[in-house]
Amino acid sequence: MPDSKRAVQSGREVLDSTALEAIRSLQSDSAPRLLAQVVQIYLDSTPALIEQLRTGMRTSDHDAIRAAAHSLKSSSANLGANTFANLCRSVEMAARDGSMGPDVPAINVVEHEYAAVRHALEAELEAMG
Amino acid sequence: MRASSATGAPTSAGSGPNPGEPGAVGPVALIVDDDLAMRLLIRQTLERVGFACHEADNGIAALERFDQIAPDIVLLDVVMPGMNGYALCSELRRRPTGAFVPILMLTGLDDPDSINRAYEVGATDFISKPINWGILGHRIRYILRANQAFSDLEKNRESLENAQRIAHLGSWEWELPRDTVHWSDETYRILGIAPDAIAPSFSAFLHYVHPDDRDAVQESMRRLLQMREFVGQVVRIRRQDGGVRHAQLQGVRHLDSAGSITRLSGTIQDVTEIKEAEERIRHLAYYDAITGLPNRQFFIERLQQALVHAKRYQRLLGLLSLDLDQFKRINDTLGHSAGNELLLSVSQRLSDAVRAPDTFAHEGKETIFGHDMASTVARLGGDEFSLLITELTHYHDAAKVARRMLEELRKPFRVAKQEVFVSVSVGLALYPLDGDDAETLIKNAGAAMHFAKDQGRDNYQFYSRAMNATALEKLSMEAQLRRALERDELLLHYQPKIRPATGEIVGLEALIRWEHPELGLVSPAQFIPLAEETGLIVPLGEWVLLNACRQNQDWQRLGYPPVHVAVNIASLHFRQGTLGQSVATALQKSGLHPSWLELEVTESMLMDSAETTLATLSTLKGMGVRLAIDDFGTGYSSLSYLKRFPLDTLKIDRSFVKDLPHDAEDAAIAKAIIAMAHSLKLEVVAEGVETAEQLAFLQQHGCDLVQGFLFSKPMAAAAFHDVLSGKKLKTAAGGR
Repeated sequence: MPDSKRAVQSGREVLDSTALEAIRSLQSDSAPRLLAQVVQIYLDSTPALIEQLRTGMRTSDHDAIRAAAHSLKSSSANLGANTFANLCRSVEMAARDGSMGPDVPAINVVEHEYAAVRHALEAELEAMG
Repeated sequence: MRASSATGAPTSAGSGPNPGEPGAVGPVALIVDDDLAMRLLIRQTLERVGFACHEADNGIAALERFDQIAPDIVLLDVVMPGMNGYALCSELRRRPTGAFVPILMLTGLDDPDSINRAYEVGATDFISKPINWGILGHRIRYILRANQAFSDLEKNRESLENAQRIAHLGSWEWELPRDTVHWSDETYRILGIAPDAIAPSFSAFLHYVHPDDRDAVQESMRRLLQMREFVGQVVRIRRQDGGVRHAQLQGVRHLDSAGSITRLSGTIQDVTEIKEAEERIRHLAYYDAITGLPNRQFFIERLQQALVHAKRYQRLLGLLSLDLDQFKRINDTLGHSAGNELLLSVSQRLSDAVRAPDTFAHEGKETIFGHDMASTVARLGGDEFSLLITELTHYHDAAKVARRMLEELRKPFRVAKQEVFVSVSVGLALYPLDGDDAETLIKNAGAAMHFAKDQGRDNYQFYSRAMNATALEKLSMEAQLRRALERDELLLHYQPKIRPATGEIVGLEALIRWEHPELGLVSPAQFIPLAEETGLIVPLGEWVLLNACRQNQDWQRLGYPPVHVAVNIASLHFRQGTLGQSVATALQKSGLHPSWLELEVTESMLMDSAETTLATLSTLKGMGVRLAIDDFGTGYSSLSYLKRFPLDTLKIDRSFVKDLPHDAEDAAIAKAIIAMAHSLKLEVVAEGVETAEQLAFLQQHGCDLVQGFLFSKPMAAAAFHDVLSGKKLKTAAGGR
């Protein structure tokens, strides 16, 4: 949890806990570990999307960038990773407009933020047991 | 953005409860998203509120799944690899089962363009991401309920429209304040126009109403506005294509709380088929099935109507009664269907004949039935037709029609692939001359037709007063003849048969006379044909037999030398098989010995049906009576039969005697008959002997007996008392 604490300590919320709570509230006897499942799916699928984003940026494949950024934005927002989702949104817009200028967040910024999200989610998973 | 299979997630896309499984009772949702986590969350959300969920991770799979499960609602992600959400939504809407399913699209909150597009492709609503899981379930249930109401309404509308179409029932509404009119599709169809082809309005409707019915429709509408009810009515609709339909109209009015009319509504129902069915039923009751002509019932009604009119406006009517002359023969030889075929052809010719333009002098005048109905041809039954001519200007117009009909029917008919000829006998009765009610006119036309038949067929006869008188005379004559039989007004005269060689009377021919109390002696030439026609000839014959036998028996009892008495037998009596009984009765009642009774039967009667005749003659002969063949030479005799018949006497017809001996031919015939009779061992009698020359000739050639004025005219029985005592007569000439 040091990453999670750090995020809080730095005054910047990595995860919006209300989003996780909303998902948790959907859990029932038929799906007691829904949140854990969703988080796990996120953690499993995100590295490949980031890899797609990286490759897209290297080859200036705007469609690939846009698609990957859209998915990352959507799935991240779903889990309340709003800062990361906003980053992805910026990338998606730029790719859609074809203006991948210097103000576009660099891939390492995206990766750095994801690392924070991942740490926070892993902490949540651990807490869930 | 990748297919879920690439995510390595354990839950495979497309899984979900099978619709056939128990428990799959709630509404069915199809979730389409390539993101496994989203599908999982949506499924969980919906299952909590009772949905059965199915999933698809791409457009193609979604279409397949949709067709399998027919979901009640579809949740659709916009951005998917391959077919995106928009394309999928359009595709679903094109499916017949997809037109009204609510489709929700999952769109980004920050993307108004995608929301617009979602509506454009037919999405019902959108849900923005990130999804508010807490309210998603409620949101979807709400959408489903709203859609249910909408689709129920749509189903109602559809079923109402179906019902209206099936019933040919259109509806209309007229909003008065805004003056807007709405017609249902069926209303347009009834008027024969495409839905929405014209702007609906009352005046537009009136345009399609038959001009004659427009006033009535307007009147009904006025009543509806002024009073409560609309008088239901059937009016004729004239369609654009010229077709005429019958439509039943109904209307009601709707009031607001203040009591003023806000709206009128009503129905228009196409009842043409019902009308046609009624018409067919009426047709069956009023028309003849074979010819399609009016039947007797209808004809009589027409005649009665026409009489009312004719009486009021002092018009003339002509009634023709027609009877085919050879119908029975054709029916018997060619069969009933040929007979029916002929009746149909005849009816067509008759109809054509009365419709011919030069038939009526008053062509073009308005007639009472409003149509081309100056005449009505009807089949009254069998081969009997009737024609009514109204608005006759001259009696001779009726004769003109009759002549035309005779001409038309004389032309050959083609029936059962054969040419057949018929003719018709026509009787005419006229109003007011021959009767002033339907029954009398029909009866009199029929009488005239029978008169035409009597006149040799193929002609027409008026029922004139003179004819009426003749018929009445016949009728009263018959009644009087019956009375004569009962009251003993009949008597017998006798004419002797003489053996010329000796002047001896060997027999007497009994001849009937009618002593009418007012008319005096009525000639047999007058009443015998009537008696034959009416069948009275048989009781008459029995009377003669009995009285002749009694008279003869009386003479014998009184001691006069016996003679035989000859009685003429009528053809009908001979044929009908009761003659033997009549003869036996007469002999028994009188007590006369059979050998003193001779029956005279004409040559033509004997040869009519030779085998039967032989049997009858044998029976009579067996009774012991004498048999004579009368009027010999006038008919055709087969010698072989003549030879077999048990005859005693042959009487040469007076026509061969009349010109003897000067007419060589008659002389030859007379000689031959005598010779032949003798060779057959028959006694020969010559009738109508009036002169000594005739007598001499006959004697010279061996004629056995003679009968005629030369010796005696027929005389009453009393006159014979003296004669019979001497039993000899001198010739009239000799006696003088």
